[in-house]
Amino acid sequence: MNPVERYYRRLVRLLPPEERAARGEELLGLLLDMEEGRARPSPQETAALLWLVARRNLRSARAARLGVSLLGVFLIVLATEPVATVIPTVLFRGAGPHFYSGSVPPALFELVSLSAAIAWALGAYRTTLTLYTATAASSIWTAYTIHAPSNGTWIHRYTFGNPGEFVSYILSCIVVPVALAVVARRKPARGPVAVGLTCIAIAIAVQDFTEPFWSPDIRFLIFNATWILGAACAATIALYARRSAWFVLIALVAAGFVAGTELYTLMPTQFWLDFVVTALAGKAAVLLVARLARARRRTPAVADGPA
Amino acid sequence: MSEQTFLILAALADQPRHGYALVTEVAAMSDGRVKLRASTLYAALDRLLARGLIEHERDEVDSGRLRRYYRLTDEGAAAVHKEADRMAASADRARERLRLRPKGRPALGNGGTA
Repeated sequence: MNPVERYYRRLVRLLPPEERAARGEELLGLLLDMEEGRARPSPQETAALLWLVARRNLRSARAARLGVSLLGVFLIVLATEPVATVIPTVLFRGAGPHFYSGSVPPALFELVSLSAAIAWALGAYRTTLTLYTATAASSIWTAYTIHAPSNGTWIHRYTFGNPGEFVSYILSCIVVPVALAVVARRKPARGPVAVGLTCIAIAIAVQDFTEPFWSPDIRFLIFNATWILGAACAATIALYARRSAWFVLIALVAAGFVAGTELYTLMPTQFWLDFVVTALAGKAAVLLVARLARARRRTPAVADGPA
Repeated sequence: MSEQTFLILAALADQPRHGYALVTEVAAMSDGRVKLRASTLYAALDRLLARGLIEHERDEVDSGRLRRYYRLTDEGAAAVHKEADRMAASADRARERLRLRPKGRPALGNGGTA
């Protein structure tokens, strides 16, 4: 097998499994016929082939499954964010300006949100729906509560400066339970947890080991990249996780912590819709990567060549 | 119907062909103007199969490479006929308009803006 053939075999392996089994050898034969005599693969053909692979993989991801994925990232980001606030609040009361003052009701509220995320990761969609509906109702009810540190009363962290913010928040509270009710009728597919775990490791590494070198100019970008990565891997794990796997829960919490920290400290409430969209975009990218990774692992037919 | 699709179907009109033969035939039919990439042809064949304009005829293995032959279906032949007639009619109309063009009219420079 010459280097060109080896190269194209690798690319063809990226096709969705069904398509690769049906037509992978045909495409490979065509590529090799057209590359006859070349010492190196053609960059133009490579780019065109990668584009084809991307389109085929996206097409093979059914709309319903994609919807489950997107909802997953929304919910995970929404509900794991409290991890970043509850733990410091419990350990270091009054640790920072963005943490609660330590009163019990907000902590309960956050833990219920977190429970919803964990329930989702475990596939207990109806439980998730119930828990999230409770937190959504509570959020709306406390939306206008005023924080008064001097007398110890607590406030929900979302304070609204204008009707637009309020409506966007209310919508998120209503839309997610409705979407969850739909999702409760489906089960997310299982798959490569390793992808999510790898992403977590990368996110934490990016966060911890590069921060001393950040300049003010790129600080915001790196924070965002870290957050998106963390949120995306949390959703990936949730999407592909096997039920009752303890390491999945640990990974999920870790990812939520990374994602939640970035989200909470950097994103003002008026950017709520913006960061939801960003999270969805990040998840879509990870979904594609996860599919490609899975496709790569299921390629015996092409790798072995024609009979 | 795009020109590439039309040429692929036309290349299959006389006999079944495999992918690489289609690439060379299309290039020959278009005097080298249309050069199909492997991925382009692959996607086009997929589309045409789905629409029932071509069908898989047989597979052959040559030098360890799979060659899949396709042939034109009756629906595909009808589509080629229809498209060829449409293109011929358009060409006729264009030639007719050119004949009506005033003789001796100076050519416009700079894209007609001068």
